[in-house]
Amino acid sequence: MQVDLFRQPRPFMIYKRFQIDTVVPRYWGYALDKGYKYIPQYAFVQYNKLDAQTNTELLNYTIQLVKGNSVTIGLNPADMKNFISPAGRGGFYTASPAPVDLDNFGISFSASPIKNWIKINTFFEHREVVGVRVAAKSLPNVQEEVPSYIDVCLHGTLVYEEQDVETWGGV
Amino acid sequence: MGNNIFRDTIPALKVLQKQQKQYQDNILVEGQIAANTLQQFSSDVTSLGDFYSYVVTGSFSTLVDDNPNVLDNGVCNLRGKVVDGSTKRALMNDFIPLNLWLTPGRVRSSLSSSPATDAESNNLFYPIVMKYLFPIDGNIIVEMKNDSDTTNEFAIMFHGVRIVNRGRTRGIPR
Repeated sequence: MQVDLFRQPRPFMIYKRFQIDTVVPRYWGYALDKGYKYIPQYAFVQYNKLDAQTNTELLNYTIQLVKGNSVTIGLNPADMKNFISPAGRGGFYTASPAPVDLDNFGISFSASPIKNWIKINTFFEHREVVGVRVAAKSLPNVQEEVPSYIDVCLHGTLVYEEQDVETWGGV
Repeated sequence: MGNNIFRDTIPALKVLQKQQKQYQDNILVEGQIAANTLQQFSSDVTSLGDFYSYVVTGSFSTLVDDNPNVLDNGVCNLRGKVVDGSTKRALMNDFIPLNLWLTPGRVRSSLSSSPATDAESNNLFYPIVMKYLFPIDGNIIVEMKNDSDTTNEFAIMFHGVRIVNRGRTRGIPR
């Protein structure tokens, strides 16, 4: 069997951890190599912030996918809680002073149903930047020594530019 | 179990012939990783033939040091990256927390001081698509970082199809 590995579409995950200590939106981008298109299929997000006073989950983050550094996908930033997540609040230590049940860490997909996965219908051209912008609407009331994190992980496919994007993989 | 035995006829000879060329197979990469280290784990694709992965599943422990005990607190401290060993091509741009790409995910561990009373293992088994052909004689590499201050363990299963290379394979019935 002859396989051209160089041109084989391949799964590729793009991951970034954002540290949130300001309400100024944070942007990060992954620059695609020449010749490669990227088709994000699903996004997974987890975040770690609880309110230290009430031990309740704060849902005040927003997220956008961005083409390059300007063209947003979707009209408005989506509230994180409505967007995506395997688990929502993820596998971080929280600022909560009280013990938190394991379920609340959201390690398990069972903590947040799979239906929360959002399929992303777009693709990025070669040499484009796969951008992610996250923001906090307000800063949570937490102990200062514990930072807030947002993990964003895109599950997708890298396709060599000569591949027919429209016909591959049922995207 | 897609066949209706009252409606479908299974052409055994054709199936057997095809099975000599390709059949369902799995490759497991697993190991224990010491505290605060980066280690590389791998499994050989072997000379049986190419291996076409469809989906991936996996589990891991979530242990931290709680001197003198080892506590399972449910926080994922493992980050991994899958690499095609034959081309050194990474399938991820960075080390990604395992709970963002593996199910069932967290499981109880015998390395814990209290495995019997730790929270139940995750039991939702939902494979994540990872379609990739790992070529014959190559290997699947998983680079793993353990951010915990105690040893953790993991197991990652690649579910796919073995594509037998007749010219190079011995011991396969014809």
